[in-house]
Amino acid sequence: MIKYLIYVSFLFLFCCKVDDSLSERVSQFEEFYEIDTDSLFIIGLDECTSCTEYYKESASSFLKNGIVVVLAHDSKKANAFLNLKHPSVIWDKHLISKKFNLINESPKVYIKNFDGKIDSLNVIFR
Amino acid sequence: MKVHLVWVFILLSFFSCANKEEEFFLEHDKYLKREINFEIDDSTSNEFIYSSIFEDENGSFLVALNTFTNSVDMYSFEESRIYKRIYYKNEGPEGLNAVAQGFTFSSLDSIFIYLKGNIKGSIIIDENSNFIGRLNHSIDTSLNYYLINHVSSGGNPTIKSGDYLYFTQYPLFDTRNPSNISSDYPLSLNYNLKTNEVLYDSISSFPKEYVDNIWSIYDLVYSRTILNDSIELVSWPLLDSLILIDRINKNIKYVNGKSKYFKSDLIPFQSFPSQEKEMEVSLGDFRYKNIIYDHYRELFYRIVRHPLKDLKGKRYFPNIYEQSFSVIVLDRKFNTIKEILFPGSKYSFNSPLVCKEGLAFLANNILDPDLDEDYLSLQIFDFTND
Repeated sequence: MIKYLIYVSFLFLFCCKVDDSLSERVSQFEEFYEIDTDSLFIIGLDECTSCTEYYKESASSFLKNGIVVVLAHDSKKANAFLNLKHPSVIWDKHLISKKFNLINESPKVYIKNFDGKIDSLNVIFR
Repeated sequence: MKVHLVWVFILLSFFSCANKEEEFFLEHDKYLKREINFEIDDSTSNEFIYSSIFEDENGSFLVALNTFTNSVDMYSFEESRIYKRIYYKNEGPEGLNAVAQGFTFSSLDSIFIYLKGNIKGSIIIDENSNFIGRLNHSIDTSLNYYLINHVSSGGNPTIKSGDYLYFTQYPLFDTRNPSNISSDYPLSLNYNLKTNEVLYDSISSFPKEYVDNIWSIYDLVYSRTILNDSIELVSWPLLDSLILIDRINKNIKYVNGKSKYFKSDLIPFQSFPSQEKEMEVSLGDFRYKNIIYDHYRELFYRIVRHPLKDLKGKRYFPNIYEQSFSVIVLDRKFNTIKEILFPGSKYSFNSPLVCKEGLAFLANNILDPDLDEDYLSLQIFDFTND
């Protein structure tokens, strides 16, 4: 159980909208990093000075079920957040997830449904 | 003959462009007095978001809040490395028990470490990590003193002067609603360390030019410097003038602070701007940033961010770090002495720091391809040299 609850502010916000390009962008991102997962947690540490502390535990718990992508220019900061040697952690140093428009300011979770569609959730700490 | 003229024109254009690019490097470089490369360990990021300078008879120190190690780290100018790591407790009755946001290194006996979203509960320690006390004002719920969105960052620090801590706070309401941009909203609050009282400073608010209009959220972030117990100087991103506020005498005066590179148009949005539009004006136009007072030389420095030429494919973050900037140097009567250009992708222009030798910039811009994670470069500029 995640100690710090993940508060889903825009629950299935994009479920109601058809975003044809989302599946493609997630696919391209997975291809870039040679990964295949049903759940992605993408978090940017450079834009949010407190995120390292707020999301550390929830990101760590997420590793049990999916892949965590950490955006940070500094490897020391990224490594202090999550062990970069963990097989389910990706250090997105060059902000590839931004280039694919998969994250803005707040962390995001992407979950693949059985029908191949993808739900995206903005995550806000409470 | 006409063909020759065309060639002369092309050559002239070529050389004038080249000179413009080089201007950034030549102009600021001639004021560089000293560079210090601090060695940093594996538990320290070279971002140094929360940093300031402390100077006493033992020397000059770069001091920084390290949230990875729960410590305030002192780096010696003399030794170019860490001098002392002052740990604070994160848990327990003497701990912060919250996410840290900012600090004020007032003296070796009084190091204030603030928590995020409030000032109540912030701790005070000394150089030996002893717990000295907490900020613990009484809460008046009618005035919502419980939640205080103080800034306390390197770019907009909380300043101790006399018996007061001067906090800047950013509003928590919707800032794109024009009715919220009112001259009644107090952007500043002062903590009295003797009486443990918090006083909102109603005179320090949105300037009249901003009131009842819609602005980009980035243009509502201001900077100020405290000159004494009554007077502070404020820089707004869209105002050419600086605002001198005399709190005790309730007086506001506009003084010179204009850049030679542009004149601010002060055109509000007619409707809520999209994120793209906000980004466009922030990256594509000139903006005033920090105002800093240099008490050693009695000078003011005002930072001006310069626009990016090509916004195609650019985002606010990280491309904001790509912007070049200039430093306006003003004398104590606010006469402009000079304005010096600095290159983009090199410095962290959010936190220039005053020290005995001049104005220090952290050369730790994340877009600098030569950035080394194991070192922090501090470059000190003396603008009194010509």
